[in-house]
Amino acid sequence: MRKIREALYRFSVITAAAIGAATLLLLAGWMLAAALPALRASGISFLMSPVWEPTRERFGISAMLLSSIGTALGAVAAASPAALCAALIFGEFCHPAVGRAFFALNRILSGLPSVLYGLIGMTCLVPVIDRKLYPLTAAAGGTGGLAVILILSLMVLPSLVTGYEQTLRAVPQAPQRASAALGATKAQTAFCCILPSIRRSVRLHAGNALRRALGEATAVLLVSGNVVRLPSLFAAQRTLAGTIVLEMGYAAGKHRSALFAIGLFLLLSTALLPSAQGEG
Amino acid sequence: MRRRKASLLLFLCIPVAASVLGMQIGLLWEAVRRAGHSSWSAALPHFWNQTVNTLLLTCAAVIISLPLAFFCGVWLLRTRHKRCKRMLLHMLSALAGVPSAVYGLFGYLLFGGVCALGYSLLTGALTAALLLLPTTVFLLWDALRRLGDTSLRSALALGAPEGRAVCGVLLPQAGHAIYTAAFLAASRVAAESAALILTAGIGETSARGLRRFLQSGATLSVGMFQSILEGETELAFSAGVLLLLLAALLDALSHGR
Repeated sequence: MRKIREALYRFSVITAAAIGAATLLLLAGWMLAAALPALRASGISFLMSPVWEPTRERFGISAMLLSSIGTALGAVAAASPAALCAALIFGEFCHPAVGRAFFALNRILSGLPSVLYGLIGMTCLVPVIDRKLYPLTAAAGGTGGLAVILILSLMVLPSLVTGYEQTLRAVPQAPQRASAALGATKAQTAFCCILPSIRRSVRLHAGNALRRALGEATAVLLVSGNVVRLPSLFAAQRTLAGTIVLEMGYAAGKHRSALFAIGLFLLLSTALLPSAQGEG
Repeated sequence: MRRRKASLLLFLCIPVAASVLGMQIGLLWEAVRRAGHSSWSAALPHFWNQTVNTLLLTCAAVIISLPLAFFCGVWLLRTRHKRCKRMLLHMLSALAGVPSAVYGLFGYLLFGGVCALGYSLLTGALTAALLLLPTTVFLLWDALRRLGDTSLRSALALGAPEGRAVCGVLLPQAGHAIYTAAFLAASRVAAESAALILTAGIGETSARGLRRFLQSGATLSVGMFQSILEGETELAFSAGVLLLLLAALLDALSHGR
């Protein structure tokens, strides 16, 4: 009985570790196998060509790729400093009760479905952009790069704030006390002592947010306008992840294979970015 | 840095922080206001099915992924192969950032195609379990590491076999962390849409009991996406408010003990 139990334990531990390791390999291998027909048919033009015409079997992702990268970078560049400011102000310079409420709000918001952000963007943000910037938005009616960037940055803000809050709370107290003892004000301590010490963690959290923004499909679909075209702030465009969700329902043959190739590309590019997890 | 310059920078931060808070409150207010316009009496029966689907799928995914994650964490804690451990950590952290649409494609191929489950709640649950695996492993492994291995070592020194020591000593100690991880994972699945559209599908199942798992069924967030595409934004906003309540509930529960 005891021997059986031990064997069972050993089996489950090793199986669990093997599943953890096999998932990534299976994911990459299977996607590659499914993507091969399209990759073989279009070769290097898959990456270089901006023309995506599935009906004529012309698969080029460069327009969507540029749109994905541009919007994700824009969103993180906007959201990361704002989240850091908010975490600093509400964490260090604010009444503790207000700070607690703010961080609780952010924890809840980070559990919201991204579809909701897309919906808010579609019903509130896009019309406002259209009205305020009219002559510029005449072609796409407010959808496009700007709306995507704003929605993505709203979407990654809560998780960034939560991450930065945890980082700030983990900063050791001793250097801060030393800084205060040397006569530095709280503001000086914050900018010269706390912020430089969390630089690495800020970078990692920003990397996580970037991966999330790159991979977001449904929220982006609702505000991007969904035309395959080179990206700009006020023209309809489409991102890589959005294309998968949009076209998977009716794709067949080479077209389906091309969607798997997009998935493989997303998998590789996000796997190579730095990650905040599993450190130390 | 001079005193005045630091204060000035700080004062520049305040409006940014305030606008972050303002935008978030505005977002919540807008969602609640729009949901108030829709007719709830007509919407509620529509949501009942999707809510049941969400709960079933979430529970199944968490139940599948938690034991896997716990044993994976135990392996990471106990293994003597340093290089294997580092490799597994690298793979898991790469997995943690893979977009959910890619998990959806993978689940569609593996569970839907090879295992012949098609579009079904079970396919969705298995895919979501894989999606949760990296984050839950990191959560549990972190918790296990922080517990320290004094009690585990003492149990081993008293002659308990390793399986008994892990399941009898480590598991109860990690109970709190497992509880938290379960609710964090649940809130992630409840909010998921891209992966589930591709695996659980958008159907409206009417089956009862366990047979439900073999049919295609939309969860709340997938249903929300569908109703947006069909132009019923008011309906989508009420689903959004339900999901907001669910997220708040799960967050409160994960801190609750």
